[in-house]
Amino acid sequence: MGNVTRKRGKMKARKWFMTLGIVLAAAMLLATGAAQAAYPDRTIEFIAPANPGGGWDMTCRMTSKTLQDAGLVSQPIVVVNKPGGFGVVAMTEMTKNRPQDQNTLVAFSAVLTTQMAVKKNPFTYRDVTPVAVLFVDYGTIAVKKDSQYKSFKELAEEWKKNPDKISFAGSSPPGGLDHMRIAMMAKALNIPLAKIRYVAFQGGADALAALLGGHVAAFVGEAGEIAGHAEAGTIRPVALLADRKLTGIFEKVPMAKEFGINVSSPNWRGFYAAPGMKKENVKYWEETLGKMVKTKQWEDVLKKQAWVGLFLSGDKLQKFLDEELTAYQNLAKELGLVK
Amino acid sequence: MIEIFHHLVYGLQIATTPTNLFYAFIGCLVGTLIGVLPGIGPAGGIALLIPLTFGKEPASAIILLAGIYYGAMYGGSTTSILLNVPGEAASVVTTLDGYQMAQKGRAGAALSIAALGSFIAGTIGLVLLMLLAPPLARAALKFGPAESFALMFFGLSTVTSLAGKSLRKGMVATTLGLMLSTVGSDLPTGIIRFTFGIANLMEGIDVVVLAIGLFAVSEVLTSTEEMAAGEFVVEKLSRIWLSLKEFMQSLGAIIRGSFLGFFIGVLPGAAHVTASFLSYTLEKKMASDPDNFGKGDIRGVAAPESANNAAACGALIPLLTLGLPASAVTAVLYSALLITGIRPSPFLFDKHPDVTWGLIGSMYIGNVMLLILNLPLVALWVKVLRTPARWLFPIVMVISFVGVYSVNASSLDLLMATGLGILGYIMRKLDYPLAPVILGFVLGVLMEQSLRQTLMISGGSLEIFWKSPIAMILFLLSAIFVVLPRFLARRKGMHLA
Repeated sequence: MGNVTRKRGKMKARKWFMTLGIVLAAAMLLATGAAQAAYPDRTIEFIAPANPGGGWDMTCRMTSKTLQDAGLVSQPIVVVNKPGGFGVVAMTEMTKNRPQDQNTLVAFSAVLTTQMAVKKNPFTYRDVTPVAVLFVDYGTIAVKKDSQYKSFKELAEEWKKNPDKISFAGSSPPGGLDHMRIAMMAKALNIPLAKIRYVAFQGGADALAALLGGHVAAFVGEAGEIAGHAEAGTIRPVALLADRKLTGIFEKVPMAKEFGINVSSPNWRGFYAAPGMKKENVKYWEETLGKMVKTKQWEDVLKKQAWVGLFLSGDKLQKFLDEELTAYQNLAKELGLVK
Repeated sequence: MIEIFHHLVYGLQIATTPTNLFYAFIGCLVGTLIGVLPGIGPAGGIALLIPLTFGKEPASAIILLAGIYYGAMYGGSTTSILLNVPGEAASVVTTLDGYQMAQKGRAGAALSIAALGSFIAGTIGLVLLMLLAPPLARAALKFGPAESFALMFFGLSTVTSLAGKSLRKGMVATTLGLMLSTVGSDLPTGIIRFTFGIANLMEGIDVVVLAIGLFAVSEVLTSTEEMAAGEFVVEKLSRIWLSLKEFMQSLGAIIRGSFLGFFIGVLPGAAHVTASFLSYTLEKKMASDPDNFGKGDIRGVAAPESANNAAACGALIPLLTLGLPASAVTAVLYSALLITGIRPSPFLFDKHPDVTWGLIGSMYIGNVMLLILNLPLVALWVKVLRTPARWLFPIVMVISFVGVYSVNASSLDLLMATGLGILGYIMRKLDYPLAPVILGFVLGVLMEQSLRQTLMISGGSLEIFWKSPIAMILFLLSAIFVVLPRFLARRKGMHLA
């Protein structure tokens, strides 16, 4: 008898512990469930609207790495490349196929603005949710190490005299940012736009190779694209298309406006999100990215890439984009790139 | 010379630390898988795995990612040989003789020679990379738009060896490829062409979609038809392994393919495709029995498979010595380096010898790993062919469509692959060769681009080609490729008469 009671007692105790276990497990599940409910609750996607290796790709990869290194995001970030039409494919995807997507950021930059300005992109910033601008990469003109043009002044004089002789290698299509840079300079120098020899290459690296091989007279692009070669001395940046001097490798490079060519052409870079991203989620990203740009890791990234920090979000960003688009639209009209 | 030896020892020391050995192995393994599975190529594969390198030493990161690159070159031939499904454009030419060999029960020999050829070519490529990198990188810069155009033009002349019986049909197929390559946004003007307002076509048709549709889908269609008529027979596997005689027969092709592939790899443009097509053509032109090519000649597998592996070594040269990526894959490696905090520049060898020599050291080891990994796999792969056809074909279709979908995650691509499959079926029925379509397609984009860049530089004058000796030599070679065989054939005919 006693034996049986004891057995029953044991069973009771086991049952009790089992119940406790189940309750505890359930509580833990609920707790983690509650924790997971905080945004972002799933893997975050960064879309680079171009192939790996370019500026948009680097924006995504550097940002995702810094966010993860600094422990600012609780969820993993994957970078997805969605190339096509200089950003149009990715924008179509976000506006048409996933307008309510809450977990995706897409890289953007002034390249997208110029495409909108020359109407090669059917969308504008009003069709999506701009989140933040993170940094600026300034335009620059460079020549080969042993080029006969020692300075920007010599290059500009020769260009004015013989527009046929000076060909520029850049990496955006005609009407794109690099082409606009050359067109703005030509306009300042009174060179007829039809005489411009602008050669579009697949990317900054290809344009640079054409310069190094002596196939073109000069390179037009961004400081970040040529930092390595400028440091090595194989090419010489002769002018910055900037309204400020840069530090580091580009410290001694003069601004174009020092030669009376008042052209400043920064390429800013940042992220936009789907048109239907909720206000609180946009806020989350504004805050998270705002924290990121203040980290030591981000500072190192900027220094290495010859990028200049510039953080814009919210109303300021909207205003900035509106001004940018209007400026480029006017410019495109002035330059005869659109009718 | 002795200095290079010291550097190599240093590189091997870095590459043989347990961590880096592990990374090299993972890279090679993943690379083989990416190569074997049609669809996502080495560039996409590397981009996907970049996050794995966060927080790792730069040398370890590049050892892992480069492993994926050359590993994929090993695996790329597998489906081409077994199933006539080229996983990427560079292995299209391997299908010509590789699949024929498989049909004749010699899949094992084809796969073994592909692995051995890749190993020998990879090693030759590495030795050349060590010895010749700086001067070659400088020479490669001489290839501007005009020279690139001439090189692509030369590449197109290889159609003469792919065309089979009728050169005219080969030309038609090439032109079809050239036409398909114009879909999408045109780089020199930014104008969108032939997209019918479909955003997904703005980047053009993906070469993987074209290759899988044209080859794999149409292959399944024709084979199913033959099966229904009771005509489809795969000969019994005679012997899995390669015989010494076959190896000796291919050795010349492997070595020529290695050198040719390596030098073309250094040049900008579609290096892997140009290298594999050119080396195939070279072998066919040199052979005393060119008629065997296209019917399962082992040299037709050995040459292109060696060439595309050696091209992978060559393609690293502009990246390592100039800090300039000259191809899609090296562009991803370039970003990967930037992300680990290293800025590729002409000083890469001086400033980061651990990365450059560590990478070279690891590639020697990786090549051995890949050979050890791939040879036993041959026995496994050939078993695939024992699968009854009524099971095999549906599986091929599934693998093909998954591959197509993996490229852009676009359902339009699936429809296009189907349509291209039907086109391929019709072309087979009418006896048109398929490989020239891929050739024209891949070279077409670059040819048009470089021609228009050239004319932009020269202001529309063609004189620029006369002024370039490199371009003129390449044009001359193209002419010889096309005209000489016909001339010789005619003379031979006259003798007989």
